[in-house]
Amino acid sequence: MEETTLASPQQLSCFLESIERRAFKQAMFAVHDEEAALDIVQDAMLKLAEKYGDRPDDEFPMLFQRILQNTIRDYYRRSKVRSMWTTLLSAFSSDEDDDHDPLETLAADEDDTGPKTPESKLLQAQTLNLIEDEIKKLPARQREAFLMRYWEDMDVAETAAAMGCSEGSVKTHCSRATHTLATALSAKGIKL
Amino acid sequence: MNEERYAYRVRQALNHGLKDMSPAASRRLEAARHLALSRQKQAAPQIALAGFGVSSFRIGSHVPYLKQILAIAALLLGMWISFYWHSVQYVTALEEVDSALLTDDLPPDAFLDNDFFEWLLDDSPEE
Repeated sequence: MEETTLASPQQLSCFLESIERRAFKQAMFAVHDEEAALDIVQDAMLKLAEKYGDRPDDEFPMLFQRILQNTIRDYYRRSKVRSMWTTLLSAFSSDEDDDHDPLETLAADEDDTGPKTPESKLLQAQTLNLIEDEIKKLPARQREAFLMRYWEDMDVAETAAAMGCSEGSVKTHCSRATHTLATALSAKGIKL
Repeated sequence: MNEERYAYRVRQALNHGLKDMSPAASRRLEAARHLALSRQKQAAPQIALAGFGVSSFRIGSHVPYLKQILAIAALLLGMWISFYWHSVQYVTALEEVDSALLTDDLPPDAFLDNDFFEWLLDDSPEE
């Protein structure tokens, strides 16, 4: 009889550490806002740990992706409501932005660029930006399927389970996403 | 175009981009991870018998489907108790009638009851 092994805190920690950056990027592709993306990843991590922290660790990738995509959708829904109120109340808001500290941004930028300034690195960064921009432009379902399947290394069945659709739909989404990316990137002179 | 190959090239590029994450974002992600770990749901508490020292006997850790087995056992036990209780009640009622008959303690109305006479005439075994 097959015995299920429940995840230990160390296994959950390893899993979260292995996916946190990709999850952050996925959220960034979807919401285009760093703070919001970080909040989304944090929420998804908390939900996974609180609700499914005692599950076998091989279920984590699928569960986490499902939670992450749902959290992103929740963010969209909340944003719609918030933007409605913001529009209504914008006449009363002040222009001051206390949260933004220019020095902090400058320091972060300096850390980022640091000593790496060769032309090749710049080109590489530009290419990466173009690829990321094109991924952002993909329809949400295509982007989800593409990233889960090829970036998260989930198989078709796992991706279908995480997305709540059929395996055929996953294949279609992935194929369309790949073709759209290839067309868009080659139009910008990027051959992969 | 080989779709998979192209997709893996994109994947390589994306993985390369992961290295250039801002320290602030990295710190936030690390903090989020620690927060999540502090709230990790633990496996359901298991019944442990005291007095077994370090290697105490734990119910539920080694037997798969133990919950289902326990639930079925509880159901069967409940059914058996219910059946036993009804049997005892039935036998007690019969005993009361029998002793009333034997001691001629029946009320006169009982002899006017047709069902009662039929029951008395019925020789078939009860069980």
